Amino acid sequence: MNAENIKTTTDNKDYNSLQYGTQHRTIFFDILLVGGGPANLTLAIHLTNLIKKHNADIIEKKIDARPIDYENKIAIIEKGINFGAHSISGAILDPVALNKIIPEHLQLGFPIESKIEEEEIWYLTSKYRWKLPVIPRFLKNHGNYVVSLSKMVSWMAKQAEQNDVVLLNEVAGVELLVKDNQLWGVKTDDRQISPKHYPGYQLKAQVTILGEGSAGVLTSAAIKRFGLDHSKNPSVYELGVKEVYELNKADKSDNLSINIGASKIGAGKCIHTMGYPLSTGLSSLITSHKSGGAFLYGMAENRLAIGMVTHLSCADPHLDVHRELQQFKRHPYIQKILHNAKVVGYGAKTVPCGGLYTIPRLTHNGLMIIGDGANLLDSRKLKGLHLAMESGILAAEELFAGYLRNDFQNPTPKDYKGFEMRLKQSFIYNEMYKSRNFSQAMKMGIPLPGGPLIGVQLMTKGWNPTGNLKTRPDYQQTRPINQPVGSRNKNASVNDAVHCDEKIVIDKLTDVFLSRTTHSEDQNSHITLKNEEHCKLCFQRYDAPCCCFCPAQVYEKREKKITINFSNCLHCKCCDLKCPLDNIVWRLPEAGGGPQYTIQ
Amino acid sequence: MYKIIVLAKQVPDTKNIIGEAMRPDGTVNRAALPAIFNPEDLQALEMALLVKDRFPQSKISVITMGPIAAIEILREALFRGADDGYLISDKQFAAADTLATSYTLTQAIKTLSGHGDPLEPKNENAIDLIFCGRQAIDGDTAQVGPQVAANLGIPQVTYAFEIVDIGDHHKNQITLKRQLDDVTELVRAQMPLLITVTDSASHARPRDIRRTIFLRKKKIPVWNIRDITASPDRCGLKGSPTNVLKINSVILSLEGKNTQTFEATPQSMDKLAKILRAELHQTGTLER
Repeated sequence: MNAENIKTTTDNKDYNSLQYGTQHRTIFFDILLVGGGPANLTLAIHLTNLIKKHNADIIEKKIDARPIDYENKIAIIEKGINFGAHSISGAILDPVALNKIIPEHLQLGFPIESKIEEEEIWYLTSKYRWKLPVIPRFLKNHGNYVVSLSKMVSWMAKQAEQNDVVLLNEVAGVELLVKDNQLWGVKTDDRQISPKHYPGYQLKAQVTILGEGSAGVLTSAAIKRFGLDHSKNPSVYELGVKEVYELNKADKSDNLSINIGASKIGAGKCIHTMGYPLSTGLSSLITSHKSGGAFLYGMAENRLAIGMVTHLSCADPHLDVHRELQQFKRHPYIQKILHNAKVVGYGAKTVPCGGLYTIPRLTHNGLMIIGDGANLLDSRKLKGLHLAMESGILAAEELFAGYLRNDFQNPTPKDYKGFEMRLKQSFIYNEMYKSRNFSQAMKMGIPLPGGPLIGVQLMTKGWNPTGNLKTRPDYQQTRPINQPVGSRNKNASVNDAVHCDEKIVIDKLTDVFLSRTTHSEDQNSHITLKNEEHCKLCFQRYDAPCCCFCPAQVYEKREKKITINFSNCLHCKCCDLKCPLDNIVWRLPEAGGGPQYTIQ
Repeated sequence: MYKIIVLAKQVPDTKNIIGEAMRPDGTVNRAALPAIFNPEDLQALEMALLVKDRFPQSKISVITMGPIAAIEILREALFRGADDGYLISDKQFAAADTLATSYTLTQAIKTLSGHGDPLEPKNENAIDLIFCGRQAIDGDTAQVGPQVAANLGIPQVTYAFEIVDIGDHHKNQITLKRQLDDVTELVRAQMPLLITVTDSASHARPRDIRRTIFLRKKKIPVWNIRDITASPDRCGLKGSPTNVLKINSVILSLEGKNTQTFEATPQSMDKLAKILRAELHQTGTLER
């Protein structure tokens, strides 16, 4: 590939001669952003804002420079059917980064569900609840927004479109284009629309930015290919599932809130809980192998987000987060809240919780990794959105500096090492440094033995008396069924589902329907097994954990074989991370497939 | 080379219903449902694109009538391979029944052919083929296509799902397969012709990335009532003789019905089969 070659192809705007089957299957960009999430959209909006200001300054003769032409040169690809269709999170947004890129976002109609005015932390036992009298500073959410991430992302996509960024929804990047240890771009998905096959494009760029989110397929491939995780801790994850309820309007007493004892729930309120049903009381000292918590966030229009997050490193092979969430909702207090409420949405995602020492090297020739894919998440604050967006801002500034240096005139992939320097000087590093041991201690169990460790960490900005805590890949932590795994109730087998009343306790498949997930059935399954024989070993030793942990019932055990219902998949990718024999391979399906979140 | 028109409609997605899709008065709550390209219209577009694949000089124009937001589906059509799109939008077109809609679309087609006779072969804008979906998933009437053909005075082939040959025998001849209840009919027809396409036709190709990049800012003409020289008396609510007396929202409920539950064992399945047989005999569906 040479410079000349690139010029002629980019100038070729004769799109009409480009019906399917012709030879021109390569498109060139300056910057290609893979994944239409908050990190990449922030990057695109901030970078184009900077360029627009630069160009305006030139016209007003404030500075003497060449204007930057970015028309059709900055593109975002997104595998969901729309921007926001695959975006899900709790979600509480600390607007610190948003204020930097669009200070007047509220006037422009940024879709917030509510502004948090009241927060509580509960410790639950199976019947009672105990409200923490003091809320630690890092969990104070006053002034933060409760958002629906899919709404927020679709709003941000509109802003990016106004800034003339090329938005390509329903396009999945499935393969890295690597040549001479440099990243040249990605190849997009082939489509099988029977009886025809439509081959994908090669999208080439001087910088490819991977903002795919948690456990991104290309991100993992790039980290492996370029050895970016050398001497880093392995990434570990939490799995979160969330339901959105519409509360009964008749029950609302005053101002969109419901009285439950002394507490009210409604817009502007956020509650985090610990304990029941994961582990409670002192028994957790010896038996806590499920750790995590639940949340209740009041949303607009009388809606309530209710979710459960647990560490995927759980030793219990029968871990089923969806089931834990149903169990959680049966708690007397939660039942009261959900009285006569109706579930309207569902979704699941993994959360990278490994912290500072799991962050891989983030740049390489032609590559930059930002957002969740870079493990930027503050597990202490339970928030990653603001860090993802901030990383987008830093990357945008680095790229803008590149534009000013005329880097993009010369079409070879470059290593923007300055991005990591910027990251180290930003509040991202500062926050993540303080929580570098938090998630690991949390995982040990609350209140004991993790509690005291966390206490020490809070007083010493994250120092841990036993040295920095290491992580181990989640899939290695599952224990065989014949070993004790603590609080597992032996009598409650997997098939013995809690009685589903479709009000409080929702069947997994009903929830999958509410995520509106769908995949074209013409394609081959995007989930494959490395070796089917391994599954037999797994049945004996682990009793097929995939049939339990998958939040969308993709896996089913039928006559000593695993059936894969790939059409149910919610793209959380936890199977790729948690299969105890590392036997599951999750590839990208055809674009347009997957959940269609709207309010999640 | 053919001049092709595709008639399309933006409809609420009735397949994926979550939440309150119907208002208490029985009308569709469009705000609660995402707006999509009517699936059969998309298949009609694909059939037109297949003609264009074979005769690359052909020109495909997509016409839709609807609110400004309906421009989305025209863009979608451009990204998939159509040459241009026209939005027919005016407040006076609102609340049209099929008669008023087909009149409006006919006027638009006439305008597109330069106000000349759309059928006169000497007119360089003369239309050869009009494709449209059999029916829209919101109204399910399947009337607009045939009415447009009647208005234009051209023949029509309904329920088509495959083009067998086009231009092979004579430039203006096309052979199509029609999907009827339990037979497939092979029809040879003369152009100009209107074709309505069923859901057994091939599915639409995906969006082309290069077209998406370069056509995303293409200006799409919006025509109002004057642009298409339509008479206000025949458009919208005024031009609609249909009166909807009542809409019932039918909710199937098991309450009060005689229900039985059967386990998934061979014995109880036998029992179920027996009961069903008896019922079918009773209603006379199954001869003894």
